[in-house]
Amino acid sequence: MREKLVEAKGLYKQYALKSDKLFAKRRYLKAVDGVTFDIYKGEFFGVVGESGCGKSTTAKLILDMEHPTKGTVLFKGRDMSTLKPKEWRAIRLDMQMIFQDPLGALDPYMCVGKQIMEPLEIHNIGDPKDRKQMVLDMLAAVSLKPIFYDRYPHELSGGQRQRIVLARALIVKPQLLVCDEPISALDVSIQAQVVNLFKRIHKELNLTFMFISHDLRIVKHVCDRIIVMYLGRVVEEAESDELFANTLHPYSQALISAVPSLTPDAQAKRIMLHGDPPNPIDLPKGCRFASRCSKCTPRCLESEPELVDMGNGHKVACFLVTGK
Amino acid sequence: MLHVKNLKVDFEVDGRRIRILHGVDLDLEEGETLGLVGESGCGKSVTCSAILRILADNATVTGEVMYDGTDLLKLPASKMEEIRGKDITMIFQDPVVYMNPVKTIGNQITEVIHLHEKCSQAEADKKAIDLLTQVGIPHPETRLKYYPHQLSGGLCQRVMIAMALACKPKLLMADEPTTALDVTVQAQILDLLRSLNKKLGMATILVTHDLGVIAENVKRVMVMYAGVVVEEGPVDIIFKKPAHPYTEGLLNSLPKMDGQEGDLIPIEGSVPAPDKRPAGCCFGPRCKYMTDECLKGQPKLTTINGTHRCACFHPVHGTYGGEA
Ligand SMILES: Nc1ncnc2c1ncn2[C@@H]1O[C@H](COP(=O)(O)OP(=O)(O)OP(=O)(O)O)[C@@H](O)[C@H]1O
Ligand code: SF4
Ligand SMILES: [Mg+2]
Repeated sequence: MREKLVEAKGLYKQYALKSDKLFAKRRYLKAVDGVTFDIYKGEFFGVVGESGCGKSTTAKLILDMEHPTKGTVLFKGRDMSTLKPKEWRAIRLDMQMIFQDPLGALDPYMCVGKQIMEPLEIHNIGDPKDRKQMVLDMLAAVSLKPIFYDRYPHELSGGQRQRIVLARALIVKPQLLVCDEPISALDVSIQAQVVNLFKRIHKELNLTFMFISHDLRIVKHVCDRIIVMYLGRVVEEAESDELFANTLHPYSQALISAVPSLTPDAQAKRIMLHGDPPNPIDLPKGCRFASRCSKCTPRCLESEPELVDMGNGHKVACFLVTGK
Repeated sequence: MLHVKNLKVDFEVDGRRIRILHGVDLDLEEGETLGLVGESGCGKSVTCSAILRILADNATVTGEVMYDGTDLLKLPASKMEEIRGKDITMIFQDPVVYMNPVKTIGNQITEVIHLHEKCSQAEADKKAIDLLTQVGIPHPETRLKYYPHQLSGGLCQRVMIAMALACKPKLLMADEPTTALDVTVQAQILDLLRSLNKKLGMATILVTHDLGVIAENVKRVMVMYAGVVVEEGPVDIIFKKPAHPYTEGLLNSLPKMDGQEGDLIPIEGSVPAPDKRPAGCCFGPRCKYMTDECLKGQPKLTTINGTHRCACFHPVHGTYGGEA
């Protein structure tokens, strides 16, 4: 049995909307609406879906940066929300995160070496006189020369900044690294550098990744297992190769076919979706993909399909596939 | 139809003049689709804005922009205004910014229509509905009464395209029209632009940083790097046999959807800042084929084969020094 590092169980997260009328019925935006998945130790776990589908909110729930309206998150078998502050801090160190915008994550007035060292000081890790060496080792691990220690964020390129953020996350030796669109803000020619670095780190440190991205080419390239989200729900979950070779959910099929291929004149096989996703505030009844689905049946407008395991861990939430 | 020669743009920043475009040549036939691809900051938008003369005040433009036999750079401002409204129009990455937030979609479109032809309000409304139908907006009659913020990103971009079409332009410049959109919506918009190009015979310049978008949507492409056109030619040739080391590097650094494994091959280093350009070839410091010869100066765009041209002393395919 593979060891589970993260268990997300029936997560819901609603945000109350401000209403302009005093006695109007309160309205809620359902950012995450019943999400269950596990992340195994050492795996490169991918989350894909389009803007507003709840990827980032799910990440925040996993990191206990937001509290679920309903449901629980277990990290190493423990429910973060029940821990005492001291224990919480200790366990929370094992999860680190990096986001899309590396510049926003860095202090403009502090040299980057000191910023990488900061978590060691805050959490009192290692002997103070060894810390500089630890930082230099970390710089080397993210392929930066020692001279970068004294540089400031504005002197660095986007790719170099993302390496600094990565070094700062890795220096506390976490077990889980949550990356939310970590390369979207980088130049195309730099993305490959950072992706290769992620892959190397993953192998060398046996680190578990939760990798959120809308770039299916990259996700396919790096991830072992993937969930596809649509409007706050998981619609499909499978090993990466299986997902791309044997795509089951109509939404995943459209999403994957929409990725422009690098072969000129290849648009023939495209499944064109019509319309936009419905508003996550007033979700219609039934399957939430129904309004854009070309295979929609009357039943799909009535009830919501559950995520069903089709064997070998390939799960899908579509009546036409599961028959249930 | 459009012949741009030796287009140079300087910006004055803090009392210093910085060259951003280093002599761009661009030719476009009637009804043709041309792609402009390159990484952030390489000068794609500046090229389009310079052609339309909508650059900021700190810009100095030299060179020639011949449109229908007249040099647009020499036209008086009022004449240029006419061309912008009638012959050449542009759509942008973030359509909402370019729309008036306090006017309905309908008013904004009919305003453009009234600029171009004498007709009653009822006739203009009818034309607006036709245009919205043409760009694939469902329920156009109701949508006319909407304000921009009530529309999704994809619908806003469609409205922008409708407004551009209201001018019946001969040339549409689309600057990253789908970058801010989800892939499934991107596929819809690109499909729309392709069909409009076919149906109306309108020439299109499509600006993007996504090579996949280029591969599927245009016949000819210009690859830009650091304010220089480094390669130009038919898409099907350039994607199979790139001649410039930068183009080759870009193609290698992207993961393919039809699953090749192994590491990506990144381009080392990063794009130089405009005021810190290397001596010699602008790509030199990142180029794995660089020799001493490359330090002599910027190679000219020369013919590799037919209409395939490349600016490199040691092209991956062909030789340097055909006709300039
Ligand atoms: N008004 C201005 N003053 C000074 N520099 C400018 C001005 N406008 C643009 N630039 C600079 O010109 C260069 C080219 O910019 P441009 O917007 O054309 O890039 P781009 O290729 O369109 O990139 P992107 O993919 O990010 O849109 C950049 O370095 C930019 O900072
Ligand atoms: S001219 Fe030289 S440095 Fe420039 S791209 Fe060609 S080989 Fe590389
Ligand atoms: Mg631009």
